[in-house]
Amino acid sequence: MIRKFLNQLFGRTDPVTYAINAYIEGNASADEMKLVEQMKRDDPALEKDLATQQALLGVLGRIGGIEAHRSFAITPEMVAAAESSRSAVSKLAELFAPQRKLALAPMVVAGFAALTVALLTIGDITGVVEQSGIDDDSFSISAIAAVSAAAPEVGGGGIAEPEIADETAASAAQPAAAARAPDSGVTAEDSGAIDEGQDAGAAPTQAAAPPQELESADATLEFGDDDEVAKRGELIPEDSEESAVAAQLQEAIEPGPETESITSSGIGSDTGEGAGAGAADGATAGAARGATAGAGDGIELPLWQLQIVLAAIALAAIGAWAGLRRVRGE
Amino acid sequence: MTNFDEERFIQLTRDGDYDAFNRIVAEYQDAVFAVVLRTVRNRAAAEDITQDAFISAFRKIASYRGGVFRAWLFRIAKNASLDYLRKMSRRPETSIDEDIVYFSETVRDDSADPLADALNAELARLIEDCLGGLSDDHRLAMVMVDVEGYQYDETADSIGVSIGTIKSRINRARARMRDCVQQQPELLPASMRL
Repeated sequence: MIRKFLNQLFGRTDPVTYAINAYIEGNASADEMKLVEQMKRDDPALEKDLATQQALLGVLGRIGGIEAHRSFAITPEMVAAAESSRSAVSKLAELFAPQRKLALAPMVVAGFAALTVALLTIGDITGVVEQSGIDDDSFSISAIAAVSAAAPEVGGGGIAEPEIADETAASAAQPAAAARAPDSGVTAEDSGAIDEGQDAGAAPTQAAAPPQELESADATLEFGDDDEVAKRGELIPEDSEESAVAAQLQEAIEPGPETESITSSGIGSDTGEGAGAGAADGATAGAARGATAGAGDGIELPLWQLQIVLAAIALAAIGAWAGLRRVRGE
Repeated sequence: MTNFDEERFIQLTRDGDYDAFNRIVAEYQDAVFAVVLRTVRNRAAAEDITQDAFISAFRKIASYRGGVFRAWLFRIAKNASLDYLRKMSRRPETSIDEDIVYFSETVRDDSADPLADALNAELARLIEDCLGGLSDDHRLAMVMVDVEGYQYDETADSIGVSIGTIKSRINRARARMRDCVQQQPELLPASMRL
């Protein structure tokens, strides 16, 4: 059984099959004749069986030939019609038509792409794979706007509107006005916002500024009153200790895009019920991930770009496979 | 075969010469049509498939890389035939049996005996029925080797499998054919009766 299976797997035929075929066709070699004679001695019924098959072969060979009743000559019009009737799917299918064994190639491609997306996602979650750097300039403006908008929004209502994350560009036009909001009381929520921002983008926090600076800023925000917060909003340092710390915070958040990423992450965490809403939207998400990758230990890859491309490949391959089956009528 | 320079016609076809390709068509159309008809067992469908196969061959002539040209043609026709059969098998509302065109040809016999002719016609029909009962792969192999008389290597090349696979399919197909025709022993020659 195993030998038969292996022979079939590798396209080899059992010697007995070779011998019987050759015997029936009347062109058996000496060894094959010997083998068949031995089999006939072992199984007397085989002789009659083989004689029947020989007679059957003779009859099959005497079946009249078939003649086409028409000509199959082709014309340029036929070829043109065939070309024009081909759909895009059939053109794709034709790529695989000569090699029928490659009919499953699109599914293999789709499977590979889907598997890679899954692995990248898992790697992203576990931190093995991290988003490589992206164009910081593309989100610096929105991040600055987010910094400016953070205080009034949080102070006014605790949890800010989710639109903040999306409308950071619009907010960028009026950062000062937003920051001067009179009732922007700083509470523990403010501190929470930044803390969460740090959680969401721990790596950028370290990359952007010394941790102690932010801790000081947190302390300031926790214990400051409305006036101080208003001053912080104006970004004008005062003589007070809290104002000095606010100045440090200002220094920490102004210079580089990394800091802006932190702030953006913080807003994302505080708004829209957590990091998901803010971080998932476009540039803000890219900023958070990019900043995270900046100081991480994992493999840096253009992660979300890869995921999108691979997912598109998987979908295209599945579509090609389905189209192939449809075109072939399978 | 008179004055049929296949290589030259193929080369001319590559240059877009329809007349040259139609010489090839004329040379092989009966052979291709016979295999297709005995595979799909429907004359109208076989005509369409054969025509499409030649059109496809003309369009794909650039992909022909040498070897037995007839086998290459058969491969195109075989793929089209199997696609047709798959398509039909997925449409249960269309019964292939209803479309079967029994072959008019009979088993050739040199005798001028009308009774022998009638028996031969019945035998031919029985054989065609039994051929139709084989799987597509087995039927195609048996038609090419045992009915049309092609060599194992050309058949393997046409179908796209190894020679060993063809021999194995032929062996099984013959055994099934034997069992099938034995169900009507009165039509069989004495040599075929067990």
